[in-house]
Amino acid sequence: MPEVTVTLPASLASALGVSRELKIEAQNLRELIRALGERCGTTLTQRLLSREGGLNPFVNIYVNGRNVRFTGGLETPLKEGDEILIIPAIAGG
Amino acid sequence: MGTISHLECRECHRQYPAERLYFCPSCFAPLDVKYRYDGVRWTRSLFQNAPRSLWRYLDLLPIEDESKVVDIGAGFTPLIKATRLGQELGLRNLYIKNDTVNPTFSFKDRPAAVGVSKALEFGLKAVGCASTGNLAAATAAYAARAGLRCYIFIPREVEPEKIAHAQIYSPTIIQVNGSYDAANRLAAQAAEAYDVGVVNINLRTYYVEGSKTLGFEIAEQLGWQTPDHIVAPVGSGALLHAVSKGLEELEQIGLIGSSRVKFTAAQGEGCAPIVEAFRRGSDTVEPVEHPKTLAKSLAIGEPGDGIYVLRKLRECGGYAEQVSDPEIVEGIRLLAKTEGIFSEPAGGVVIGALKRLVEAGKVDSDETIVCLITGSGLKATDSLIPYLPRPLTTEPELGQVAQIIGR
Repeated sequence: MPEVTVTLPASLASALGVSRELKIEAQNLRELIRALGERCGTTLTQRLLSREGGLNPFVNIYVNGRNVRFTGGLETPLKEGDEILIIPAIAGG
Repeated sequence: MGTISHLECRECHRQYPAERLYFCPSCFAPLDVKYRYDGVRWTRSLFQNAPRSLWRYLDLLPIEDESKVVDIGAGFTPLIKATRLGQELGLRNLYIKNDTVNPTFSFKDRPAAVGVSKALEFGLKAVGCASTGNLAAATAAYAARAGLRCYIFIPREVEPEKIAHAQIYSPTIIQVNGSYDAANRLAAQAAEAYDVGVVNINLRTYYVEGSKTLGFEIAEQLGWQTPDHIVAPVGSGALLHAVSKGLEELEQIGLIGSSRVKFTAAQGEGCAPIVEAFRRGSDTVEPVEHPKTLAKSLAIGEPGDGIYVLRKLRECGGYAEQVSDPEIVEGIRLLAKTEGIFSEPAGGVVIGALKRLVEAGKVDSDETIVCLITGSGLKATDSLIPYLPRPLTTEPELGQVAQIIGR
């Protein structure tokens, strides 16, 4: 199972009482979000997903700098050493 | 002085104190500043002696310590009745809100002034932004005025005039080898890693409040009336949402009656994810990975406020229009030759969209329409030159001039 590094927004990590940077094992993004829930509490999984089970539209997740909305969304495959960034979907002004 | 009550999540409505929070930790949605509206005692006469800048609206801006206001004269720009452009398009009550005359020549002076002031209030020593160009110069200028360090993240494709303009204020410019969205992502990471107030990211909740003053001014300049229709350029959607919030706040404090403004969102073809979503009838915006439009200031492929624009358009019965590069240039030229106002391509998008509305019979000739012209054309002359006719050339002889003028 590939191990990846996940970086969370500082305020979210501190609200959850976890480190900003986490090492997680997962084959794809959907598994990663489930595993994050097991590690940090299921509320994190709920926050990252929409009610319909897709990706929360207010969250952007990047795998090695690429937005997963361009790489298969929750089915985006992960490989050893991937860097996952989770940030609020804020762009422009 | 600002009378903030709290920050409120736009989705789940959880409330938070007015601190350095830029998204809802519960659901990731944006936060809005809420004021103690019943404490705001605005009357029409109050504004007669108010500053001729956006700071005339300080009571509904999120700055609590007036000594932290950074002012180089942003806002209170002219609202001009566009008689000749109106005649050209068959519209009797057309207005141009001319935000090209701001201190850094775009509407971004408004949110940058508020964002940098808030950074001072929070005691920050450095600010920054992710920018398609206009915000770069605005943030750098207000940072210079405030004596703060400034870090600007720009994408690979920005008009050279906009880079030069930002550079003159001596910020640190970081040009990212990628799209605006890549620059924005990197700025967001920097905002998390360092104690920098990136105005449109981790100060965004406060920063966007500056843009709503466009709505306040339009209402005030129309004699505390709202127009029937506002045509707004849309990149992220933050401007349209902010103008709408401004009008709602004027209603809330009872200065205007019930506002029924219809909005049109205008985008350039090649980066029109909000227009596409509107046409599909969808509530979600599919991002554009490789934006390609002459309107580079609107080339935001992942528009943060896209869903709020969609909601607003549906609620008000508005429209969404996308225009091609040639239509953008035609719009810029039409505005310049009829009203003497030189807009950057985003304004060409607005005029092009208005033309489309007229041609499709979506606007009435008597409607009061306001077009938001948000940036100066001098910021983007390079991209216009290929579309402009060459000057006539002549020897310095009157005889030759006679062939031109005397014909």
